[in-house]
Amino acid sequence: MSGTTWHVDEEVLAGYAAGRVTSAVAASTEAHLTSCAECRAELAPAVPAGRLEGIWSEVDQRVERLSLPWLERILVRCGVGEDTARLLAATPSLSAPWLGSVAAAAVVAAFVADTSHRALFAFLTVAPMLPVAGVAAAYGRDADPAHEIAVASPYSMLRLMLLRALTVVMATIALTLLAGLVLVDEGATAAAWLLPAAALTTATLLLSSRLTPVWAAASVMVTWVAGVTVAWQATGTRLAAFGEVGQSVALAVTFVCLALLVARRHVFAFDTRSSA
Amino acid sequence: MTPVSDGAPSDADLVRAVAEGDRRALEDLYARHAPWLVLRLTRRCNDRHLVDEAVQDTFVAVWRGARRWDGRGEVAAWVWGIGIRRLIDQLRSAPRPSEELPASWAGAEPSAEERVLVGVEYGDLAGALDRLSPELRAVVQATVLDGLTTKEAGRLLGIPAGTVKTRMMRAKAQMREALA
Repeated sequence: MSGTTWHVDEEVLAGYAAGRVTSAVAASTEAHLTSCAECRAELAPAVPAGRLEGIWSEVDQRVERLSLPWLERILVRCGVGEDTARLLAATPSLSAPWLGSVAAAAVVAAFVADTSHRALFAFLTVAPMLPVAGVAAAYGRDADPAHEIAVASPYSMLRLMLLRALTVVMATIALTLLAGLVLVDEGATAAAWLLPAAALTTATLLLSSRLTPVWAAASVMVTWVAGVTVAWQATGTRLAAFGEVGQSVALAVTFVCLALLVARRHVFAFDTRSSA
Repeated sequence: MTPVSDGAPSDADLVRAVAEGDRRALEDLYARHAPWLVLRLTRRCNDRHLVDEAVQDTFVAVWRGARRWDGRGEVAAWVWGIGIRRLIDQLRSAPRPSEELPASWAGAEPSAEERVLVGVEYGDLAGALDRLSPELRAVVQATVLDGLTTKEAGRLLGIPAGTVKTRMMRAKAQMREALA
C-alpha cells in the first residue's frame, strides 16, 4: 500500500461506488483498490454508516458466541458440526462447575474407599450414579439456558438426547476413572462400576420418555441402590452385585434399554419435557 | 475512517492480533475493509440482503481463520477472496458455507493477462472488454479479474461450469478479433 503514488480519480471513485462506470474502469479501479489503503478509505463514506453498523453488530454477536464456550470449540475441532456443538456445549452438566463437583465427588469416594471392602462397596455403588445425575441435569428445563434452542432446533430429540448423554457420560466416566486409579490395590474390581453405569444411564434415558428426567434419574438410582443391597443380603457377599452375574445383567439391561429407546424414538420427536 | 497513517497498525498487524483473539483488531479491520467489500460485492450481486450476509460471513470467517492467513500478499486481496466465496455460498440453493479459507489469494499476484487487462484503462483492450455482451463480460470478470475457478464462476453467475468455459472461449475469440 505504501509506495503507491498514483490514485484513482475522485470522480471515478464516486462513479464506481454508484455503479456508473464501465467494466474496464471498474476492473482497473478494483485492481488498484486491492493494493491502496488510501483509495479504500476514500470509498468508505459511499456506504451508509447505518448499514455498516448493522452488519458489524451481527458479526460482533456471532464472534461473541464463538468466543465463549471452550467446549464448543473443542467439539468443532473434533469434527462435530457447529450447531450440534452449540447444543452440546449448552448442556448444563457439561459446565465447568458441574464437572468439577463430579470430579470432587469421585475423588472423595475413591479416597474414602481406602482398602476396606466396605468403602470399595460405597465407591462402586456411587460411581455409576454420577453419569445418571449428569444426564438428568442435562435435561432439566430450569437448568438449560438453551432449552428453547434445543426444542426449536430441527433436530430429532432422541438424537440430541443421545448426543448429550454420550458426551456427559464420557466426561463423567473419564473423571471417575481417574479417581478410580487411586484404588490401584483393588485392580480390576475398581472398574466394575462401568457396565452398571451404562445400564443406569440408558435406563434413565428410556424412562425420560415417560417421566421428567429428574424423576427418571431418581427412580433409577433408588432401584440401583435397592438392587445392590438385595444382592448383598441374599448372597452374604458385599460386592455380589458387581460379580459376573451382576455385570451380565447390567449388559443385558443396557442393550434392552437401547433397543427400546430406538423403538420409542417417535416419542422423542416431541418435546420430552412437556410433562415437566 | 482515516487513512492508514504512521504509527497505526498495518492490516497485517491487525490480522495477527485477530489471530490472537483481539476483537478490537477485528473491529478496526472491519472499519477499513467492510466499505469497499460492500461496494465491490454489490457490483456482483444486486441483492443488498445477500451482500450484507456475505460481508457478515466474511468477517466471521476472518475471525475464525485469521490464524490460517499465511502473511503473504495484501490483506485486502485475502479478504476479497473470502468475500466473493461467501457471496457464492449465499447464492447457492443449499446455503451451506464451505469451511475452507484460501491460505492466500491468487488474485494478489496478477497474471500477465490480468496486468495487461487492468493496466490499460482507456485502450483498445478496455474498449474490447466493454463491447463484449454482458454474459461474456461477466464470465471474463469472474474468472480473470475475480480469480474464481470455472466452477465457482458458474455458481456466482448461476450457469453450469461447461457454459463458463464455452463463454470464456467466445470472449477470448471476440477480444482477439477486436485487438487484431
